[in-house]
Amino acid sequence: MVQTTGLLSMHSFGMKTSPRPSWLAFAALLTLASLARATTILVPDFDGMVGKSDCIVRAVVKTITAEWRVNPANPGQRYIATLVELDVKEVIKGTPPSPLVLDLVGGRIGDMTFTVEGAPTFTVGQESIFFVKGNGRRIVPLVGLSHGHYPVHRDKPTGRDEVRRNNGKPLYDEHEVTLPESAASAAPATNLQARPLTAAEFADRIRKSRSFSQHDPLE
Amino acid sequence: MTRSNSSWLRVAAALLVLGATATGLGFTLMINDTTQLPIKWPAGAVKLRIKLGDTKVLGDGRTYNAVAQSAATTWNAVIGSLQFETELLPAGPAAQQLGGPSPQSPQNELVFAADVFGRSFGDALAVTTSAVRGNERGEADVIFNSAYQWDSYLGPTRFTDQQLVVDLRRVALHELGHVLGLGHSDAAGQVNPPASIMTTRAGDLYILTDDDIAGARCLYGPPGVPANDNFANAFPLIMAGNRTLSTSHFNTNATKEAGDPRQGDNPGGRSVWWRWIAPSAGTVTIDTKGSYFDTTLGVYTGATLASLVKVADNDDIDPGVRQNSSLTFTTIAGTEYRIDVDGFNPIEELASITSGADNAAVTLNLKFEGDLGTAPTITSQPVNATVTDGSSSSFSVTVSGSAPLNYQWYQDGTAIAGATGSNLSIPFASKFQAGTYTVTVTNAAGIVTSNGAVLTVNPAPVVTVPQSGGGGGGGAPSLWFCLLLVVLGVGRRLRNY
Repeated sequence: MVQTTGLLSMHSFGMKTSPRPSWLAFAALLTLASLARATTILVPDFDGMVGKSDCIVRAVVKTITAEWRVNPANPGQRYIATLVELDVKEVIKGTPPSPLVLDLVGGRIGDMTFTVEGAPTFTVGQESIFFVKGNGRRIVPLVGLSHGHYPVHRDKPTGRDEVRRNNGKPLYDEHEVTLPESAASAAPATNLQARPLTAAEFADRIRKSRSFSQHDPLE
Repeated sequence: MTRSNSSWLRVAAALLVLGATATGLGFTLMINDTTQLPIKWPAGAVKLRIKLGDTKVLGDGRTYNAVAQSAATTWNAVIGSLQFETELLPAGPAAQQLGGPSPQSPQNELVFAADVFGRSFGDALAVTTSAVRGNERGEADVIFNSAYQWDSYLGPTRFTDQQLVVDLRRVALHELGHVLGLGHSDAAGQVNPPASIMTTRAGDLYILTDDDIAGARCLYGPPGVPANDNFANAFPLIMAGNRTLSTSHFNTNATKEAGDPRQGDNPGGRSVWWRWIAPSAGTVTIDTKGSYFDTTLGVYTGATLASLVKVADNDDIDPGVRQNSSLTFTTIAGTEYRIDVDGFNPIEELASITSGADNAAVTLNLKFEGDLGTAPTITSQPVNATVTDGSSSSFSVTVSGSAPLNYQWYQDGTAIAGATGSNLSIPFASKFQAGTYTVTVTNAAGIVTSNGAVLTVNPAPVVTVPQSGGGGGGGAPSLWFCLLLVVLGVGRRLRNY
């Protein structure tokens, strides 16, 4: 099990309009975004996240394996890294390697746990949508760290596969990724019929992003 | 906690992040999911080797090292059982064990670097890495991303030529929060968490908030010794109509008095005390679930430490696994029980060394099954009073209900320290004593609040001094002489009182 990071992060900012959301939902989103700026001035951006991703996949965590590593630039530095093997169910963007194995700093071996505070946590069997960036080159190979991880939750009453943010909150609109994780979603307040995005809907929004064809250079 | 040769080698466990459940709190702690205890440093000092640089002068006139040191000092000022000890060093690369498990000699460092173990920071301004065994932290390093421009300033985040200028101090506060054991305040799905320096992204906030301090104090308590450290200062537990009650406090910096009992087959060392009177014969369960450390628990009868008789005690709910404590016993009506919560002390061989006893925020829960008696009823209310400035006054209340009855008087809604009897005396009324007085009366069966009684304080008569004709020895009396007359008048009133 990986317990990673409490990174203090920044993201590219500049909120962009959705090609489709209603004016009401968008206005509500703007309101929340402005509230969020009181404590957060650098806001992740959905199109930016899509554009920065090397690949975006819907996948199930298949195995988690921790191992000791040595910093190649400094052989005296040992640390624990974790390999998270993903069983890819759907490729949404890019061409991921097969198998796709996320390589993260941090993990647990024996009675020793090495943490990068605040990074997303993975469990075997969990299905998520991953915005992968810099695998093996970044300490956490996800765009925006925990903002690049969207667990998919099966809603038992409806049977819908609903998308959640890394902290468990439902994601009602793709542009809510611009909000701090602590912010509430506008959707339930403005529309009682609002439902969290399904995995299929979220994948569709990703494909329709203006930045879908963008490929950041390798870091 | 079962006996262990070394707390550093306690049983390992997988980790998870739990959000604080209390409404209005956002802080998260890393929890050992086997013991259900947070992962924190042992009490004492955590040495920080600050290697950010001591030559460049920043916008506020300080160096990188000095700014980071001030962040450590800020945390030190709000927590009790742990303090950062800083060592300021020239800028330089991290030690060989940067951020990694280092069984030989752990070093906690703050450094600038372009990478972490040869990897990109990604989107991070800074990273904190920690090595953990069991419930305890063993090493932590903070690596600041040297790709950014760093400075030190207050207020909103700044940009120069559209490039972010990062305030080192607020980021250091955040990362040192991680070093202490705090997670992100927005990482566990909390509903509308309060402002916090511990959110995932840097913002305009540059100081610790109440939420940050509350989180850190769950782990390390506030500065100072708890008021119920000594047996004689035990806090009363009053059920007030509820068969269950829960209270919270700390045992950080608590001590062990001579005669403090051994309980749970452990010497402890940081005991805090409560007292509770059983309203009737029944069964009571007392536990420390929700406490943030490895507790021991004991219940006794007796008015002094020397005369204590043990009723029940416990170390762990599940020995060595669930390290909070729980016990159940049959009560005797009207008996006052003394409840002692202590921290498990792994230094079993040297019972005189008590500073190693575990400590943090205590939660004490009590559940009673039995008759609570008759709730208090006020039969005579306090009445309004009007007095002259400097005069005395008093209020009283008459109450029926099961003993013991507990009184607390309030002036304009604020509890008056020490005013815990059926009568309230005000020996010297002034404008500051004017107001509305109420009293709450509680017993095991309930609570009642009196009507408000208004104390009106009228000004004292003005002392008139004859006008002089001026000149010579018959001049006007000095201001000092007038004051003396007033004082003499007041003194007479006091003697009459």
